[in-house]
Amino acid sequence: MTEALREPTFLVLTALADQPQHGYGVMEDVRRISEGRVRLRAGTLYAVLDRLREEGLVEVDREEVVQSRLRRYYRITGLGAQRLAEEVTRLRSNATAASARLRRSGFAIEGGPA
Amino acid sequence: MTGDEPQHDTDLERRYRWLLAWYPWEHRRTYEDEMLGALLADARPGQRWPAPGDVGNLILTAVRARLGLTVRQVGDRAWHDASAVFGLLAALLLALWSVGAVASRAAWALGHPEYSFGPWYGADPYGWLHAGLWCLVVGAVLIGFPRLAASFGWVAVLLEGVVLSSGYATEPVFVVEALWPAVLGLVCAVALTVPAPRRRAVSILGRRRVVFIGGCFVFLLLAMAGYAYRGYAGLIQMPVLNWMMGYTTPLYLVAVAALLAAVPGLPAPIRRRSLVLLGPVVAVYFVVRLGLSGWAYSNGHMGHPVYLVPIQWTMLAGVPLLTFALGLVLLRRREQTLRLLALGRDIDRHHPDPPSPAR
Repeated sequence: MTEALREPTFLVLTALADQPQHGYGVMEDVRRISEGRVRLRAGTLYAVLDRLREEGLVEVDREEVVQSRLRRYYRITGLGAQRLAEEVTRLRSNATAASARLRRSGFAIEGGPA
Repeated sequence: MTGDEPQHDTDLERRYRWLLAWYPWEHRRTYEDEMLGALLADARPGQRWPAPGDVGNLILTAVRARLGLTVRQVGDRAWHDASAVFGLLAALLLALWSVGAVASRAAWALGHPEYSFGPWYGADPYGWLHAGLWCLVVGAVLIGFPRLAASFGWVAVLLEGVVLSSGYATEPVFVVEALWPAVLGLVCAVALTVPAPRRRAVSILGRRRVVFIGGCFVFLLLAMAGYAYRGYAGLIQMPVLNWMMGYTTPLYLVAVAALLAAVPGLPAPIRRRSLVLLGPVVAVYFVVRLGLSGWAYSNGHMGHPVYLVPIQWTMLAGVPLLTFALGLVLLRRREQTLRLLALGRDIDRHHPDPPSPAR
């Protein structure tokens, strides 16, 4: 059984699932995806990217030089997409179970599944 | 500010570079440029100082990266091999040390039946147990049961810890002077705990070398016991040997010399790591001999035990840890330099005649 992904890791993989992006692009995208709730700082982002690269879940798509500085674009790998899909299934299953129990107990769920 | 705009704020860039210097070189080489770009792109217009959140985040993740790198380095194969070799050599020395102590007393007791020495022949149960445990450690390593060897080692370390801590109240100097073998035992137990294939230490050292060291140790034990058995009349009439037998320290120096003779034949990465492992033990020895000699002297003249004060405890614990950390840093630098030299030689081999610079 695979370990649950931490939120920053989940959000980075989600950001890269759409298209290859550079570091700052991922930071901005994570802010958008989480509706401003999660703000990834550079230190955390590159720690996550380094680990994901080591595990083969993301890889470098291309490199370019902007203002004399190297910029890398990262993309999700097949293994990364599979890992993200597993996590989505796990979260959905947990969320479904939680909302069903809350409904049974008579608690209203705002924006929850019907 | 976006990632594509020119960045004129050199103050901010310099300060971020200073923070990024906290990361290990391996991390900087791969990500420094990118991280700097992302940090500057994320900055507010006109911002001159790094945001406090970024400062904390960069320092924290840099320290984590350094710790992670250290753990990875300690996990490399050379460390596994060095731990196996160091574990065996240290266990041999500790076995000689502890067996020598009880064997000499027992031999003296057997040679002097006119005195009563009790059921333990002049030694105490702890001494016998301690000696037995280190012999079991050596035996388990040689036979090829590394986990069993580590378990016996830890039991011996805990036993010694209990004995030393219980004796501190009455004989603090004796306890403090016995700390370096205790630290050697601790490092030995840690080294034996590092996973390694069965009989790895024997295959690295070679059977002949292990037999030679073992033979030297057995000879020393027999010599010590023989001398103790005959008493001061002397088993051996030669003055130099008689002097050697009269003092255990020269004998232990011979034992250490037999161990050191094994070191030059070891592969360099294992040799360097073994020295790093030995560092804390040597540090404790010198802290006690040099840093606490005044304290030991005053203890002998006060008529009552004088205990170590917190600053002395800090020195006793801190210096070995710093020595180990310094050893790791020096090892890393040395191997990095060797890697670069090898890389340079490789390039020279492929391009022996570089074009001369244009004038």
